Amino acid sequence: MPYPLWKIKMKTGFFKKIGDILKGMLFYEYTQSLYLGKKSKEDLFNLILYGQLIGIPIFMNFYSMKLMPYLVKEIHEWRFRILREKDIFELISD
Amino acid sequence: MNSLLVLVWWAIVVVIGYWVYARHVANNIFQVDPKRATPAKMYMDGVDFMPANKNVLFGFQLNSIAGAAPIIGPIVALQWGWIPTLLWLGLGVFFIGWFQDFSSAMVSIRNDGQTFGALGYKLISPRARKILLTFVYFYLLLIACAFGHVITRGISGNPSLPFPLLVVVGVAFLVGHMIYRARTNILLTTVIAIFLIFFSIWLGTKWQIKLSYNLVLICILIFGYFSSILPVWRFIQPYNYSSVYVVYFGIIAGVLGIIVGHKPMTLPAFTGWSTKIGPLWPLLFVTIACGAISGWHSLVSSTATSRQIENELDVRPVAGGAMFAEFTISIIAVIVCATAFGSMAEYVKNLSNPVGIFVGGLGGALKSLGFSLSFSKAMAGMMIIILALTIINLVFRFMKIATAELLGESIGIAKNPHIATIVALIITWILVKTGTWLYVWVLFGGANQLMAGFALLLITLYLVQKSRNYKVAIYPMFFMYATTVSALFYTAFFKLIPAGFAGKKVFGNLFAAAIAILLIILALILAYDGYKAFKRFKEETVEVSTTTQEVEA
Repeated sequence: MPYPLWKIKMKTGFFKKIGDILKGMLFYEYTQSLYLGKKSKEDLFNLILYGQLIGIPIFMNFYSMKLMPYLVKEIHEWRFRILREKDIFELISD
Repeated sequence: MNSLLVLVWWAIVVVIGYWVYARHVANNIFQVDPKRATPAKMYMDGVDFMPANKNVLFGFQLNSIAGAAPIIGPIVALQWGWIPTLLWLGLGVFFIGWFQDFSSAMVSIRNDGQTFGALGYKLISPRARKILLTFVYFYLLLIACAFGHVITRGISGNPSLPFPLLVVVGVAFLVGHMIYRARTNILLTTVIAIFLIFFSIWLGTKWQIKLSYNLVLICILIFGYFSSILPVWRFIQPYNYSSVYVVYFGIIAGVLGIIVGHKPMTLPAFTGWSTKIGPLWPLLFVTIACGAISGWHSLVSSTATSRQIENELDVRPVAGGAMFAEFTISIIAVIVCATAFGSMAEYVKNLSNPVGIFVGGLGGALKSLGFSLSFSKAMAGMMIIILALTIINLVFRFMKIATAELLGESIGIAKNPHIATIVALIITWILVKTGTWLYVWVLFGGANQLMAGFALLLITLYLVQKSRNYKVAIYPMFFMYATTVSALFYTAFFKLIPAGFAGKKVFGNLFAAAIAILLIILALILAYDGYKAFKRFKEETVEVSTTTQEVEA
């Protein structure tokens, strides 16, 4: 069966633009907040496993090494999030 | 004059402003480069620094900057007539407003996504950061007082609003629980929330509850307390999410109602150079705090937006475009209110209740679409009060943390979130009860525009540092500084202090005057530091160009 034309229109061009703007107005703040909550729990988990990478002497070598292949992609992001100096003015966007 | 002709002015400002002037500034002065890496792409921390689609960011930026101020400001400014109001809205956004939003984002992007506090510390002086924080604190305090009065007066004056507002608060808790705890499907949650809210607005017209001013004020402060203390996901986020549908339904329906109804503008075009509130210059320019130019936007642009821009070409549509969209909201507010009253006297009588003015105007526009008058008025009232409450949420939350930041080291108890929140609530209550609302609104506008002056100063210094044409920034900066300091000076020494010494609302007026004088002093200190920084950057630029010429020779 041919792909419905309305579905194609929703995914391209003008309708997609309107959809994206509505997404930004309605959902973006909420999804960011959910994402932040998820990431802070992951940060805690990474802190326990890889605390020594940010200067905290936590040695869980067995688990750190075992989980390393799964988490290696996120280590850079995690270190940046944890070590970045936060400014009070960032709360304005919350 | 037919109100639809105002849309011609709107079209001229938006088309020439966005597609001609904004493009010229972006390409020739800031030299936006699509190949340059933005902080979102450089750091990619998965949360704050994350590239996002420009259309999504546009919607987010618009949602962040649009509040009740672009509606209430023009309503109050109409006492000078709709010509000065429309002129300042149009020319302000054309030359200054969009430029400030756009440039704030660009300066932050070119400086690793740093906030304006950090940039002020780096480019102006170390005390500039503390001065900005103090501006923000008093801005939030004044907005809490100004909006506190607006909301309280609006709810106590309209018995069909208390019930739906209670439902909105209940729905906020319900939505928070459904999404975060029960993990319910977002679409189902949204449908339930929208149904409950709109049904309660209709039901509110049947179940009217008359509440006294004092009781409503206490309820608003309790609302503010819980907004500050509870986790974001429990109340504020779901409240903002579920109430945004009411607001945008109101805006869209209002636009359609204006087009369908196309009533004539019944208020006078120009009433004179001086009115009850004071002279046109400088007060018009701080009365309309948003819609033309707002310092708050520079803070929003330099935090969330600048860290999520994928490509420098996106900054103009996101930051600049959102400002023009807010200008559109102000134009709608002007049309709605200028067509609501039969005479100027009737408008002036209602001036201390801007919600009532807006309800009358937008209610009439919605009635043109076929809704009943009672539902239309309830809808309009809910829209503006929800917008104002959204700001109240943020205000007490930020004031709690700003108090800890400013006073926490010297006064240990200031770090306690409950104490900090209660102190902010008490000051708000005092100013709402004892202050004169119109002058508090002017002070709020003054604090807001002072932040705009600060932002324009930073932008000027950045352009000087990079040897670009800084005239597009420095002239608006001079204008904002001169106008704002004059407005604060006039309001403090010609209105508040005389009223206080004459025995009218003594404490509130003198306290507000003290805030105005403090803001003036801080603005002058900042201007001095800014001048020294400007001289420093100019000398460095001359040295570099002299050295370059010597090397070339």
